[in-house]
Amino acid sequence: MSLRAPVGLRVVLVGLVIFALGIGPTLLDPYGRTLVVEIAIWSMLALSFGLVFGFAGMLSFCQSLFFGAGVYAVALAFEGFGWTFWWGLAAGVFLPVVLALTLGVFLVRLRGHNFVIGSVIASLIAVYLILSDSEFTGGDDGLPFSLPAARLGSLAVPLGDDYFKYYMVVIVAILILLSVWRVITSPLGRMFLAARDNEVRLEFLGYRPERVRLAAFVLAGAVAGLGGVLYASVFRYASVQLLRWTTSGEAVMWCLLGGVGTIVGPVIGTTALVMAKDHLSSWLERSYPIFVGLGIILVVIRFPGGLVGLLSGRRVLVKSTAHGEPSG
Amino acid sequence: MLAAQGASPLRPLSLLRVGLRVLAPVGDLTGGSVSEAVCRVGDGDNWSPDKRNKEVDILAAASFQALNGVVWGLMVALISVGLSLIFGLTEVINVAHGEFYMLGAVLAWYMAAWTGNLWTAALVAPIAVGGLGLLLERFTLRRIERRPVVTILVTFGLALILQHVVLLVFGPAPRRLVPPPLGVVSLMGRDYPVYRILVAAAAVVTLTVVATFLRFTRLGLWVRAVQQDQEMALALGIPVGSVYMATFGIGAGLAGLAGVLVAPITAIEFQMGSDILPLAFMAVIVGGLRSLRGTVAASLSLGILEGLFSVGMSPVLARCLTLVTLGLFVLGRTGQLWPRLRMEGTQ
Repeated sequence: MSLRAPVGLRVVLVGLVIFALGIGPTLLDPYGRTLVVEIAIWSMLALSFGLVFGFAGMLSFCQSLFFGAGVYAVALAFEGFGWTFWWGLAAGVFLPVVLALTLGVFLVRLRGHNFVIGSVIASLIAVYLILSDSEFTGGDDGLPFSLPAARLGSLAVPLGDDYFKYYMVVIVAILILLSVWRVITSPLGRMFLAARDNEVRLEFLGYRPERVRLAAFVLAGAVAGLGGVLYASVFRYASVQLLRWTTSGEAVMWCLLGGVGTIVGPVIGTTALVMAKDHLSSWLERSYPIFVGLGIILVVIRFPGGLVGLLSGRRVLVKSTAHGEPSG
Repeated sequence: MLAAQGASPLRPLSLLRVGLRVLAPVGDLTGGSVSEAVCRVGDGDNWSPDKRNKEVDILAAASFQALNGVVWGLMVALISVGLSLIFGLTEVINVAHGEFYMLGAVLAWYMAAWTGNLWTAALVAPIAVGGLGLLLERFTLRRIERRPVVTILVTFGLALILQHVVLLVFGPAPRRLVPPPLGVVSLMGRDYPVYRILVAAAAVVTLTVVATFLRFTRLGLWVRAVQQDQEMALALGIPVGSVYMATFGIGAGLAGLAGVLVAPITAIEFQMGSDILPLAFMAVIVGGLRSLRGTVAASLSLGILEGLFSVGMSPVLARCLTLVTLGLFVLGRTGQLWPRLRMEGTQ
């Protein structure tokens, strides 16, 4: 079963989108616009996790790996290899998908806690690889870089323009959201749910659960990777902290708070928490992860359905393949 | 691990040589100069005293690193045994376990700063951390045990909280602790710090005590009983709740002890727990989830493997390669690497 987001929250989401596209840019100051851009980018990471956990039942801590892979692919393509703009973007899309495919082939065969640990270790291996060649990748200090000039036919793309960045990120994020929604409501999306809830039955129906889960994993990896590409285009800085499994954990929090098992949930959760983080005073800012931790514990124990669950009256935490047992 | 079956004492050394030569190309990729020397060491006609000295140097370096690996592996063993005990009993994947290790090290630092004495820290810190584990079990985790996803998430939340509380109090910069001045021993032509040998000995003693405890005491019997069949244990009147608390306390205490012991020989910082946790998990999985002996063996292999790898490459890459090797080993053994290679008797 999946949670259907209550109509109220869907309206809120649509409202947010309209605001972001329409009057927002004129109403908000540059700082507000940057906040919206941040929310859009991070909700991609949260969406990626929501996809792989809420819909396919795999508790994955390596979504940040794919996000970071997108960032580093772009950064290294421009800074390390000197590629042109479009090729660099292509690398940023290509690498996370390839990584998700390669890792996924091995990881989706793992059950329950083995999968979780495998995903943590995958992130760790990636972090160590990046740290091992500090000269090339910037190591612990990260890698600032600049975007090369971009041309679309005979037009120059105004990458530096504030408004352009804003619209680019928001529009791409909305497109990704729509695509994911399209997949989730398609038969493939139903198979994700089936793989999560009752693998045995899915196998009896003639499908291979591992293939289905791999599809979900790669899709989620692509979403995270695209988020990374957006991050790279706007912030022009690659940091190894982005890949740590603890960053994935933050996305877990956003997703849990909003409501796992829906499309709306991760986005709303990210919006709420990024805005909350922004409004805290500087002292609280440093101890913000403490509240993230408390929040996770609270949500998981008391409000498993997150915001969506709270408002729709259901208190169900989505089942996962952690038990490896069929349900119902 | 290198298993030398032959009677000849030279066997392990030649295996090591072969191993180093195999690793050499990897080292070359990463610019390890030691491996260059290995590549150039030939046998037969090209033998010369100069090259032979280089080879002996590499062997000495490798043995030195392997010894470090044993010490390090024993520390990982302390942590993994705690993790394994907790998991085997409560089915809790304790993501916060690494933080117990970190707390042990941080407490050691503070106690050393206040009392100037590391030995009191070695006594107090494990008990304090163990007590914390006990309390956490009683008040937070009791309600959610046996629900894997939930416990992973909750312990992750706990880990975040512990990490960042320490960050607030201790600060982000890594700090070091001066090891007790115990001098060095001469091993294989090199000077080896006595403190590390002491640490290894302490770990071995502790592990033996734990094994004895599990086998020969009543509480140990209860722990094993609850691990095997919780309902039956309940029916027999074993206080399962107390057993849970005690196991958590012991597991946390072991990790804390590892933290204290390792504090003078590593950098103490708030993230050190999340750095070592995946290694401990690997050791638990490779060693088999309910086998403490397997866990210890896996931890030692991990340490020695990493030590040997680091002869030819940077420590970071060595750890990376160790993780990859162990990961492939786990995947291969569970028959899940390629479905067609599924072996009889494995799931």
